[in-house]
Amino acid sequence: MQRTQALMIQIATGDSRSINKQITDAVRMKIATGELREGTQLPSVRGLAQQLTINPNTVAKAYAELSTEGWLESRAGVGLYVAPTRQRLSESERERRLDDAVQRFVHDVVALDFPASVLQQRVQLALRALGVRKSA
Amino acid sequence: MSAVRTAVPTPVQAEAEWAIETRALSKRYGGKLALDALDLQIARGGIHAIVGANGAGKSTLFRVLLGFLPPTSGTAAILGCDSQRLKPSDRRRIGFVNEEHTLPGWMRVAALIAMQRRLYPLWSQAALDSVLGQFHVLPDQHVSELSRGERAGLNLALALAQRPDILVLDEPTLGLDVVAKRAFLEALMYSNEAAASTVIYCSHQMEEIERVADNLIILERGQLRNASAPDTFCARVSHWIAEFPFQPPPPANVPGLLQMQRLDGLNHYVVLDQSAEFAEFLRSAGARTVNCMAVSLDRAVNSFLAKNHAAPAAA
Amino acid sequence: MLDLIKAELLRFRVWAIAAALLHAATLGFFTRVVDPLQQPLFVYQVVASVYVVLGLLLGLHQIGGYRRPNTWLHLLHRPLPAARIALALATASGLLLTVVIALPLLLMLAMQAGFSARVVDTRHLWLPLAAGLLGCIGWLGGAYALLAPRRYSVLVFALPAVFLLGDASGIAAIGVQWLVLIWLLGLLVAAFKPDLSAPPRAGIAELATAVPVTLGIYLLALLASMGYQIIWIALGSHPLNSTPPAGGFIETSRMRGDALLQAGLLQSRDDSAEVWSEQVELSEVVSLIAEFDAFPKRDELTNPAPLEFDDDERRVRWIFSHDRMLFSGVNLADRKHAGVLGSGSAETPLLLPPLPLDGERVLTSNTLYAYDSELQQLNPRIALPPSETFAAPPAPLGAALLVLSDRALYFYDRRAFSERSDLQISRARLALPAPIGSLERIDLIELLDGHLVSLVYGRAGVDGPFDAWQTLWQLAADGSAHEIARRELKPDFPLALRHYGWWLSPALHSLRARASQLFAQPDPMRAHEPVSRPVAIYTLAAALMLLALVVAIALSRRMPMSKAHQLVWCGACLIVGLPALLALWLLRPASGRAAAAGSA
Repeated sequence: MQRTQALMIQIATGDSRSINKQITDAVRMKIATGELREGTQLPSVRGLAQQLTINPNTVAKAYAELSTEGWLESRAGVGLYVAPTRQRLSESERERRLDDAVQRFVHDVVALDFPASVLQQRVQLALRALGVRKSA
Repeated sequence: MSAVRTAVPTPVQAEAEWAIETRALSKRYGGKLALDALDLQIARGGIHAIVGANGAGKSTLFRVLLGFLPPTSGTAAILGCDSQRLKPSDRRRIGFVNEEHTLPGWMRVAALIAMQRRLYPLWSQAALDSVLGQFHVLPDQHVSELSRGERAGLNLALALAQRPDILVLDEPTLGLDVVAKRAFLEALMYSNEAAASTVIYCSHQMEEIERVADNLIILERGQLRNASAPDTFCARVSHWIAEFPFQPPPPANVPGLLQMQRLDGLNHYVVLDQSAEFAEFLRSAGARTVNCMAVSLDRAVNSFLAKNHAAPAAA
Repeated sequence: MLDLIKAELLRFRVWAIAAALLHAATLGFFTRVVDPLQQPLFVYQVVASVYVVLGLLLGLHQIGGYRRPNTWLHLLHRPLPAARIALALATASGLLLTVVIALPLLLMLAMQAGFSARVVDTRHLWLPLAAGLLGCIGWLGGAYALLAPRRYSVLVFALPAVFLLGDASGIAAIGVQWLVLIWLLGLLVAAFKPDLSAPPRAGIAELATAVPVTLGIYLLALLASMGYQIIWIALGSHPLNSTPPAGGFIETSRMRGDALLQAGLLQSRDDSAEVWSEQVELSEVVSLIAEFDAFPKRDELTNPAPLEFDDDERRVRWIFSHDRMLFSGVNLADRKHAGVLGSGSAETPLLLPPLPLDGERVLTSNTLYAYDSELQQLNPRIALPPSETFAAPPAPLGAALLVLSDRALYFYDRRAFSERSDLQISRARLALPAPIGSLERIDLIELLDGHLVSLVYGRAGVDGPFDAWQTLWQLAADGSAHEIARRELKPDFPLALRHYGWWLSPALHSLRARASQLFAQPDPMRAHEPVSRPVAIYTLAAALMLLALVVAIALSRRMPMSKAHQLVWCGACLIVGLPALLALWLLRPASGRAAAAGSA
């Protein structure tokens, strides 16, 4: 009934993020922005590996990590699907991740010497751009 | 259905047979030590990448493992069999592809395939056809008429069709054009025969290694420097940028230093196995600003191997 | 394995066919110009060398291509025992060489037999086989030289050098060739393994390798002595190139006949010595040497010299056929058959193959025939006892005709010989006091009542180990003979140099002599005085053998060998001497060095 939807992600070798991380980040982003809807079937391990020309084990690991985090669920014998929103991270985990992201952001921008108001404005703009998509 | 391979088991697991096992393996050429008391254990299954600079001993290692060079001391075993005493039944289980893709140039492709088919009882013609189909190789051509990429494809197809338990590739994509290289890697990664065997992939090219490897083995000057998943290795290496208004700390004092550069008045440190405490070290050494980045696998391996080279004078 | 053979055959098929055609064309050309089956031995030796070199070049090219590390790996890393791969390559090359070498020769023989009046014997049919075997031996030598460790691989050529230059003839010679071929094939199979630097594993393989290596070292050492002599010549004091020492063999061998007789008479205590001395001054002196060193042997593959002679008056060429033991005639004008030639009017086949001396005389090893052109038959004129062999052609001296055999000097009536045409009986016989192989020269004069004969012995004693002396005999008119003088000749070369080949390794010296006699019949012309070796030489040889043993024990202790293995090698070094020690060092130095490196 649900056909496999194409997973339109790119990976780049020579990037400071590992391929595993690039895949998991990209899938998370697509699910978060709604590009990948709930219940969509993801490409098979081998299919995605072949699409990206990488080792199927790497894809398997990425899928396993996303499943553990609750982004994906496996339906017996059929494949991996995007999990419903509610099955994701626990509250404490969400808090922790938000703190981490904020810390990283702050570290990155503090040397740029922008005033705090500019920073906050930019963040709002970015979220709004995402937010428009999210509600649709 | 996805052909999910079993994840690479860690070496701690006791197995009936290692794919490759060397104990204190040394090989000396005159005054130079190509392999230096190498203790290497590679488990069955998965793709293992062996990386090292020229002269690190990779080709020597393979020749010793296949029994074509005697070790100066120590032992080497492949699939549990002593390398110096490989029988024809052992060689049946070992496939080897080298960068020259040496094949008898005067034979026709069809004749070569027929000869190989008769040699290997486990031959899978389907595997050969599926791999060879990705390269434009006609059965009537002479092997010497094939381009390097086509010969590489033929070589790989022959090696996979024999359905080996272990497949060793020594820089197989060297000199291949982009199209051929991609076709080769795809054939290697996505065939069932490769999935069923242990693949040892030896290369200089980090771009390939990053795509292909389950396990990253680094050799330097005949010694084993690393054997872990590429991500794990990469995570150990970090890139720090610090600004020192006064005298920077001498390189000898920097913990885990792999590489140091001074560019545009800023000190760049690539370090191994350092956590956030490294920032404390830099600050206490007089750094005004400190930043940290992850590194790509390419850079990590490069810096790791460059550790023993002299750092350039301050810019 | 068959696949591999077929692949190699396909690989070289164009070359093989082209070479075969070229070979056939060359043979065809030469066949038009000369009779290829009636050539002197030297021609066959040159042609044989060409075939060996041909095989060698093919072996070097083929195995040289496989020898590179990557191609060697590709060849040997397959589920096929290395021995089978080696045999496959050898078989393929053997077939190729058969096509290139043997088939054109067979074709040539067929054309000769079918389309010409020339003689083609059964023995000639073995020539293509022998040529093919030689090509294969060249191939195997080249292949082995490339594959075995470079330290000693080239020495394997000692094997063909020692055995193939032996005395065996006919089918026995083919037997020797097979022996060498199988030995080399065994060596190749033993050397054919993934790790080319390793010494042969099995005990038999090591023994089979050690023998040629040791022989090769020995031969090189013998060559070294020649180098020493060359330096000596350059320095100008070599006995053969400058004034020879007085009272020595060289001086004696160069003397004029009369001076030689005088020198002998000086030693005589006989009363008539002075009288004879005067007669020497006045008489003609005849010198004889043993000229013939080879007669044709029954069914040998080649000939020492062409077995044919021409009758110029009747324009007929007579060619000897071993099959029929008769001469077969070819009319020189129209190249057609022209009858047969045998002994006597009944044209009886000869008992032994003859050597034509000139257009008028034909010699077997014990019978001299005269050719009668009118009657077209051979008349036996001189018949030696069946156990004796002619050593020189008949020579005239005054009223006598001298015939030298390997046992005696015969005197025939010269006038009777030239006037009559039947079998002659000798008038007198002087038994030679020593074997013919040692005879350097005979000088004699005719006395009023008999003959005075000087015999100088010591041939091959110039730089060899044999004793030399001159002996003077008087042959009386009644046929009795007695020795009247004996003069010992001093050796011209130093003792050590003269016995060099022996004290270096008595065992190898003997082995080499036996190897050249393998499957061969003893040659009467080679019979020598036994060598007397002085005690000093025995001591030297023994000392060297003990030295070899001591060093071998020290050397083998450092090698990773079992005790039994060490024992065998040390025993070999004791028996064979220094060459075996060097062979041990060559065959197993890597282990020695590795042990040293490991302990360093």
